[in-house]
Amino acid sequence: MKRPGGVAIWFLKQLGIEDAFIGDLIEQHGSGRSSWWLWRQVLMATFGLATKYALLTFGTVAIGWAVLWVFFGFLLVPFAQLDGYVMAKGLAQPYSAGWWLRGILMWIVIGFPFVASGWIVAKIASRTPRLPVLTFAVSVSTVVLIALILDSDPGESLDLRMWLTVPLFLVVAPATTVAASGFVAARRR
Amino acid sequence: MRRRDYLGSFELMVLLTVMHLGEDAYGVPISEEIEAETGHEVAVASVYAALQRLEDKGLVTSRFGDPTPERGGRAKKFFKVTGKGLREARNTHRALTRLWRNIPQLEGGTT
Repeated sequence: MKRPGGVAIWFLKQLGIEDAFIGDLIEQHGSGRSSWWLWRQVLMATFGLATKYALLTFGTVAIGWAVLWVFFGFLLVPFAQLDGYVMAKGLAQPYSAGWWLRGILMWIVIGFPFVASGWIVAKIASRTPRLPVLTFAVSVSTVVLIALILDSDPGESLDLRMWLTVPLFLVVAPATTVAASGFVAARRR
Repeated sequence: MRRRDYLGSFELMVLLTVMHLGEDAYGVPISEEIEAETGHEVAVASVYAALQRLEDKGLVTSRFGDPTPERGGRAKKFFKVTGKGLREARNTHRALTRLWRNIPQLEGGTT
């Protein structure tokens, strides 16, 4: 008997597809259906879900981005002004208390909008499968990646800063969104 | 005139297959039987979507079996046709048969 298609099954679980359906796919795959057949079934299930929840997905993603935009608008400008003042006064020398405080504050200012938007998206889509939340998380990753690439100079795209920042943001931004949605889902149970 | 929801052709296929399979009607045999009868691959997701619509209309009911290891510890979801489902299948059969009779091109031959 073949092993259940790990990634395909994991993906369906993330989408919130019902267990009986996943069990049917595992049973058929185990009794001789190919992995190609399994992935076709996964794609068709995803497409069906996307069609069914297209409006909700589009709406929640739009609301999620609106929330991000508002929070960043309110938080980033005052933070940038405060940061400019701190740097100008030399209050954040490397490894000083001010330097650590600035780093922590920066992560809060950057992380909070992602958590808040993920929480709101999950609240709106809490009665449905997790497709809207995952779509929002993927859209966040994509936009963050594009923004980081556009922000860097052509010659420095492979430097240490990029290698550290890109994966960090690509993981942290959607992860906080999905974690916030998981928190909402856990509270509902 | 009272508005009623007609069965789609795929829903009707699924309903008839559930009837035919009796106690053993769950996703896998339903999909396999429809594939065998139509000669086309069936998306299991489409079968589940049709079953959900049939259940929403009160034409089938479902219950869960025991989890089994060959299904990764997941239970089978068995479906059974209700009295309303049986009546709906009969009515659809009658209506389709009457419509069929009025079309001479469909009588007899295969072309």
